[in-house]
Amino acid sequence: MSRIKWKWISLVIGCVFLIMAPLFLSAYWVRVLTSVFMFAVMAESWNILAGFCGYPSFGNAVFFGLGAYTTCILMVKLHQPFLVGVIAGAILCTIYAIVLGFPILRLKGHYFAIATLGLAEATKELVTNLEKITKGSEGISLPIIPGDVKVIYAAFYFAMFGIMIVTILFTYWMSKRRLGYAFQAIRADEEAALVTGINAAWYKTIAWSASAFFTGLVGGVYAYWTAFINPEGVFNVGITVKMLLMTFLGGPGTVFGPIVGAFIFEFLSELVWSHFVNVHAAFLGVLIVLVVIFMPGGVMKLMRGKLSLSKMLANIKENRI
Amino acid sequence: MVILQNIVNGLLLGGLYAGVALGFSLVWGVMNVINLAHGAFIMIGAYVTFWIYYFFKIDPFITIPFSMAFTFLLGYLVQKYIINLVVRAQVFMVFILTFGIEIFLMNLSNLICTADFRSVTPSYSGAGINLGGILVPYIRLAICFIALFLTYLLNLFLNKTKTGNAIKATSLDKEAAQLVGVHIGKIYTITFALSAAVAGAAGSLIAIIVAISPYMGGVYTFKAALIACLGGLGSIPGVIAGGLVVGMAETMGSQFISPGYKEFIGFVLLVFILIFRPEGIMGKKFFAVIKH
Amino acid sequence: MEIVLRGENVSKSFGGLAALSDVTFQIAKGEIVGLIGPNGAGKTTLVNVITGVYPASKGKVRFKEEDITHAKPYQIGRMGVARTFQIVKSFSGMTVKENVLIGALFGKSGMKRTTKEALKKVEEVLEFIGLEKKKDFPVEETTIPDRKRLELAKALAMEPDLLFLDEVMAGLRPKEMEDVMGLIKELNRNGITILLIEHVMKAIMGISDRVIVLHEGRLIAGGTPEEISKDEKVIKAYLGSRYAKSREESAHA
Repeated sequence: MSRIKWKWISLVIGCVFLIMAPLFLSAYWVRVLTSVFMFAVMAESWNILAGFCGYPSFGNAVFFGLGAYTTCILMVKLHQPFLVGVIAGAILCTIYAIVLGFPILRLKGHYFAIATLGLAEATKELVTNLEKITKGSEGISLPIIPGDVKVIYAAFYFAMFGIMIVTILFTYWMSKRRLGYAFQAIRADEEAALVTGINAAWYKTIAWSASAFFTGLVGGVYAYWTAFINPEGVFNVGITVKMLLMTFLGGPGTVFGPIVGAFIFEFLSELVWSHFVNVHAAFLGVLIVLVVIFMPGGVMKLMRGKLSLSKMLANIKENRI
Repeated sequence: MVILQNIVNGLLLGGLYAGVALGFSLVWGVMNVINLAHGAFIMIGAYVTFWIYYFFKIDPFITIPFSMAFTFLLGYLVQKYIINLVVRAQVFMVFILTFGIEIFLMNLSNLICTADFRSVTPSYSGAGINLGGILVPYIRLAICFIALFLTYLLNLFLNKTKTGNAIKATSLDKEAAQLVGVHIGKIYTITFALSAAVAGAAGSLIAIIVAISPYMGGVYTFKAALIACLGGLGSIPGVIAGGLVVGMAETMGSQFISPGYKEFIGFVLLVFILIFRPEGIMGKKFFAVIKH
Repeated sequence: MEIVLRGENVSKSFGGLAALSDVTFQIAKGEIVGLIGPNGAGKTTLVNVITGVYPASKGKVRFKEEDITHAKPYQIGRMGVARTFQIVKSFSGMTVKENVLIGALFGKSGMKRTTKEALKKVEEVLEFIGLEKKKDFPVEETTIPDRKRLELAKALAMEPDLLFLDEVMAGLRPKEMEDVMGLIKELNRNGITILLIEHVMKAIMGISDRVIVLHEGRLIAGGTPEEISKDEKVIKAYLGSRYAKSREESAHA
């Protein structure tokens, strides 16, 4: 009982700290945290389809890109306000997921993964080619927001923070109800789930749409935050890699795993980046390899039992040839 | 006339693509590993060729054995000391592992070689045979021939040597192969090393006609996946058929639809195949069973 | 007599292989019907076709007079048809309780229940089956006999009118078998119609009202357990024509 209590207490303390943070942290750290929140949302929403439902999408960056581009196009070409752009982007992503879910969600395991990878590449190509609307590989610039830089950064900080809280709440709510159980049953054994009365196609679509929605939201906010986007930047497979890695680091199929993973990863990144600038990206790869070999259940699973070296080595013993 | 030229181009490209996909299909068929790092080995082979050409001015075709040796060794080490540690885990975990290896190799290469595009341009670059109005560049012809020759060699190896037969046996039934004394771990290592070697060769060939960069691998991995699925996993004739189809589709698509939609066409094709005929063109059943 | 399940000329081919040919049968409400046949006869295939896992190549299946031939598995599950699998399909990554919860949340009345109500149903089922003490065990930590019980519990939580049991007796000791037989009889008394696929003759003959026999995809006999055990066609199918012939000869001798 006390363990759970500690969990909630530390959560509340953490939230309070994060809400007060812009007051005393430097602009640099505010930016870092904003980025952490953004990736936390993407990891958490990736986790809904991949961790809970068992369908690992390797192309979720496509929603980030679509959200970003929709926001930009609506703001620049159609002179819509920011909020309209962001919401429209998220809705577009949801529809994209629903429509493409029809063919793609029928595939299983890594076939699904490959297809989503292809989807991201194909969409990136499409967006690049529709030059008249998207300005192609040149990218789109958004007007810089006038005003005090500190206040603006704080605004985006809270925007991302807010979206992160909503995503966490949604995931938590979902995990305790029929929806969450349906997802988990599908991941465990889709055929058994079907005969037990679960309409897998329907639930998988919901999972992917939810992850599309949240990812699209932060994509839109990101666009306005950085004021410039281009296809290579926002449809980047590296974004999907990060979502994946953070989820695995923290623990797939758990509510807080991806969040924990996002924080750990970004802070590790900052540490490494500031000292070994060039090594940064290769380090990602090494980290993925290490996580898969030693702790495929992520940090959350490790925390459930006792942290031990022998546990990590046991994984290798089980899985080696 | 234009059509004929395109068909020829498509076929020549297809031969190369068969070489690109060969190792990938083999590894998937034998070990049920979808090697996302495949493109990285292609990239490494390309760079080996580039650097040898750059420093020693040796004809790029001659560098192929060197790049193959290098990637063979690298593949051997990767399989033995990394992938073999997790290969019995869920297929998806191994998938992510190879993803991590790809990221690492790509970025390491970026560190060492920098992100500038490099080219290998031998003196005979533009020349070719003229067959009644259709231009067949020497280079493309040689590349296609070499790729198909390597495919033939691999096929010979698989069918006529003891190790090759052991590999085939492993792909058909791992447990049965073990029962007759096949050491699965060693077979996996050899298979992956061979796959990497062929990928390296493909990379060398690619370096001769295309500008290379550390991040070029991803596109080829996807193409390899597409061809492997099209042709049926682990099936060498399937890889050739798949390669030709993709080569043709790309060339025709570029000419008659638009050059900018190559990935799109590939993607649509892939989804189609996976949904409607996952056994591929050749219709062989998957050796690989998808276990979650 | 209400007919709960009707199969009309059900046929299923996989490529060139005819797994089922013109299987016609009916099951009345409240019956316990045994389905027997040599290995490869098509017993599990028949259940797979009925529950929608495979589409039938030809013929019709009716559940309570409603045509379910083209219905999807989840629809059939929600209509009140539940099944167990020969090789148990437990939901890994969840506890015993959560496994049964899935059945309670998605079965016949499942979609109308709240999670709380479903959990009450889960408690009932776990007590009936005898797994309440292990309800918070992760399913990976349960024994095989427990998993077989769990398989049954999941099906029961769906509140089925019709229950298919696929070789539930396999690997059980005589005492365990008797317990399961008692369980099945009690379920039947509570109103569930049951189709039992079995190889263990003692179980089939002990509790079935009727037995139907599949051989090479065709229904070759149907009747009371007594009648079936003496049926020449059945003996021939199980033991081969030479044995059947020698029995004939010794009978006429």
